[in-house]
Amino acid sequence: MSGPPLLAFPWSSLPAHASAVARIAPLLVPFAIFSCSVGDEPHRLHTSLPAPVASGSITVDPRQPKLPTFPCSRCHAGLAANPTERKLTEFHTQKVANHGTQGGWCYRCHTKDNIDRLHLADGTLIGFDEAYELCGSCHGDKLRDWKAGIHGLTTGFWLGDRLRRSCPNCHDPHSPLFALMTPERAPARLRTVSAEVHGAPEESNGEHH
Amino acid sequence: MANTTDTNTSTLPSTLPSPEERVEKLVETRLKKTESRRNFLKLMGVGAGTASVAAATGCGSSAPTSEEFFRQHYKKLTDADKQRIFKRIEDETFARTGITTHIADPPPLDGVEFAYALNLSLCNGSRRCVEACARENNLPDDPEIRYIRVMEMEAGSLDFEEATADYNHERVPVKDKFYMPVQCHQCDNPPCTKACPVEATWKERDGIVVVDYNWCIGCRFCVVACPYFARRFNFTQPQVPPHAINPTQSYLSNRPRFKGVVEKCTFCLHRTRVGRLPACLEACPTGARKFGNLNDPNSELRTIISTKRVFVLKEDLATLPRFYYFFA
Repeated sequence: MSGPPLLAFPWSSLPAHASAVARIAPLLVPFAIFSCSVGDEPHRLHTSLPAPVASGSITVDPRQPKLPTFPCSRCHAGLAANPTERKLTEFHTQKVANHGTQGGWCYRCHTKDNIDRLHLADGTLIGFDEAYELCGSCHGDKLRDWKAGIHGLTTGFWLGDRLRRSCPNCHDPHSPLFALMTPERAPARLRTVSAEVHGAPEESNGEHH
Repeated sequence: MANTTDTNTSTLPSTLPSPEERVEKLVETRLKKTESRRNFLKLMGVGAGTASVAAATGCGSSAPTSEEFFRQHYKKLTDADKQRIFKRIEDETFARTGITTHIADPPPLDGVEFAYALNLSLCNGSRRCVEACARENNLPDDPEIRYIRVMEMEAGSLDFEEATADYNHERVPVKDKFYMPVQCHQCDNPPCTKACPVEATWKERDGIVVVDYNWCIGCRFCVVACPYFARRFNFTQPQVPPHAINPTQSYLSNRPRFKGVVEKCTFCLHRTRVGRLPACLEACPTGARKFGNLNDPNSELRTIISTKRVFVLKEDLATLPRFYYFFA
C-alpha cells in the first residue's frame, strides 16, 4: 500500500512540513486520484515526540451476565438432547434461526452434552464470553479485524481502558444480519427545503435485504 | 444575561433600512429597555462604534462587559486570564439556566496527532452520531446546528450531486444505498483558517482546527472556504434547553456560543485530549467509527490506514484531511 515516499522529488529541498506537502500535492494527483494511504511512514506528521503509550486494558464485554436464562442447565439438565430440526413451540419460540445455509440446528454451536458451553468445530468447549472464537471459525476475516480493533464497537478511552463489544453484543447469533433501524430526524433546514422543492417527505421504500 | 428578548431576532423587513435608520432604531430600542439601559449607557462611554459592533456580533442578548469586549485573542491569554474568563462564563451560564457547568481548556497532548477513520461498509445511516454529537457539544435545536451530515449515496458511486442528506425513511439502510457521514475533516492544510481575516480559527498542534468564538467576527469566509461544508453559523441566538446542557465543557469546543459566530466539529477535544473517545464514535450502533493517534504505530487507526484501502474526500484539493473513509 505504501507508495514511493511522497517527498522524494528532486526539487523538494523544502522542509518536510505540511505546507511543503501541500505545495507539491497537486502534482501528485495524477498518481493517486482515489486511493490515499499513509502507509508505514505517514508523511504529514509534524510531531517528533514519541506517542504516549496507551496503557489501558481492553476488556471484552462479557456476554454471560446478559443471558436471561443462563445457566441453561437449570432447565436442560434433565432433558435429553433432541437433534431433530423442528419448529420450537414451547420454549425459545422467539429464536429465529436465520443464520447461514439451511440445516443448522442448535447443536451446530451449542453442545449436546454440556448445554452451558459452546463448542468449536474441533470439539473444543468454550464459554459464551468467548463466542467470538466460534463466530470467527467461519467469519475469519471479521475476527481478524475485530481483534485488531477495526470491526465492532469499542468505547471508553483511546488512551486507556477500552470496552470492546463481542460479536453477540451487536449481532443476534441466531439471526445475525443487523436489524433495520429508524433514523434520527433529518436536518431541519434541509427538511424544509426538501418539503418545498419536492413536496411531501419521501415515502420509505421499505424492504432491505 | 437576564434580558433574553432580542429585537435583532425579529423578522427582517422586506426592505432593509439605511445604516442611519438602523443606528437610530438601535439607540431607540436600547434606551427603551430599562434593563439594558445601564449597559447601553456604559457602552456609550466606550463609543457608539462599540455599541454597533456589540449589536452586530450579538455577544449574548445583553451588551458585553468591558472585560469581555477588550479580551485578548485566545493565544495571548495567560492562565490567570483564562481562569477569570472561564469563571465568568460559568457564572453567566448559571445565571441564565441554573445549570452548574465546568469549563476547562485541555491542551494538545505531546506526540499526538488525531485522525479519524470511518467504515462505510458498516454505516447504516441511523444518524445516532448526529444526535450524540448535538448533545455532547451543546448544539441548539433552534437554530438547528448539526456538525455531522449523513449523506445517502447511490450504491456504487461517490457522486454527491446524487446524494441527499435529508432522507427521511422509516427504516434504514435502504436497499442500494450507502451512507457517508461528513463532518469536519480537520485538514492538515485547512482552507478555512486561511480565509479568516482575523485569525479567529487555527490548527492546533494535535491537528484539530478550532475557533475562538469571542474572536470570530461572523464574516463566514471560512464557511464558504470549507469544501466539506463542515462549518456552521449561528444566525440567531442558539437556544439549548437547560436540561440538555452538557456541563463538561471546554473553552475551544462546547462552551456556550452566541449569535453571529461560526462553530464546527472539534473531534470532541474536551474528551479526546483527556484520552476519551469522541461522542459520535461511542454512539455508533455499528462500530463504523474509529479514532486514534496517527503518531502511534500500534494504534487501531494506523492499522486501518496501513491495511485497508482508505481514501479521503476531495483529495484533489490538497486539503490533506485527517478523516479517512474505507470499506471493510
